[in-house]
Amino acid sequence: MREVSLAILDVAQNSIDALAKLICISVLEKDGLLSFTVTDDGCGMSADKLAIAMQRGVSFKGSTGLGLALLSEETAECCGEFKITSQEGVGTAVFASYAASKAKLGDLGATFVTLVDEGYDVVLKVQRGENIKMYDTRELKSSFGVAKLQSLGALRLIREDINQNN
Amino acid sequence: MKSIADIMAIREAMQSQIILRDNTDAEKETHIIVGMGTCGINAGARTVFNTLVDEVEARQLKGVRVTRTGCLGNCEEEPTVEVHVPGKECVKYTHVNAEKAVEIISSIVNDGANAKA
Repeated sequence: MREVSLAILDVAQNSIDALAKLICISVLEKDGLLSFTVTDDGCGMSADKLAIAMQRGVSFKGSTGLGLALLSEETAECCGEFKITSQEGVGTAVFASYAASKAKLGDLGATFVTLVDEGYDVVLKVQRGENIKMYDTRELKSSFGVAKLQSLGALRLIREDINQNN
Repeated sequence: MKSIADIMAIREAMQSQIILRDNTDAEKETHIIVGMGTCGINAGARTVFNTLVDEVEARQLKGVRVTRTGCLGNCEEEPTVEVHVPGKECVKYTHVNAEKAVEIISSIVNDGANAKA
């Protein structure tokens, strides 16, 4: 089974391909539960598309159609939930949860680094117990372009900060 | 808990130089494009992406951006990396891992050095 931070990365790719301008990712580790939501303002899906979106092999962007199917299977295996809502022209929200004993979050920082790019922004909220940390690529990019951020090593520091459990 | 402002201040102190807003146009940037579809991610594309970014930092490369593309349908070739240097033909690498990612950056640096020679 994929570490959860890779599932988050996969879902966020759907948001990017849906031409989202803002992707909000929220991760929660609390009371024996690990969960995440990915919400975007991309093109969204009609009710017909939404109804079949999580089926294996179904893709509206010419890809494998495996991502949401995998997520649905993995959350079920881990006694969790998988929910997806969408509205055409508005955006999409994906929610996934896992029993914390059955799933690992993994390298969330690496996932975030991979999502710092030109063309869209990401707000990441990480909550472990009562401790909450927020990261916003708009803040990062206010002073530097992405190429510069990558060469400065700023992203490596942020990756470490995200993964720190404090 | 470090704020992003703290992190950037630490970085500036380490650099001990004045950091200016990067003026490289997108058209003049070299783009290193990592396939980030479901198959790519399952095959290790995130590690490839992060290794490429680490190498860009280690080599202090200017005007180079590591970015992503969605599924291109060639799942058996993943992880894939395409290198677009402005004015040059696109180069595609398949079955990339961390070690090959480092070699890709070396190629970009060497080609750049050769072009100037």
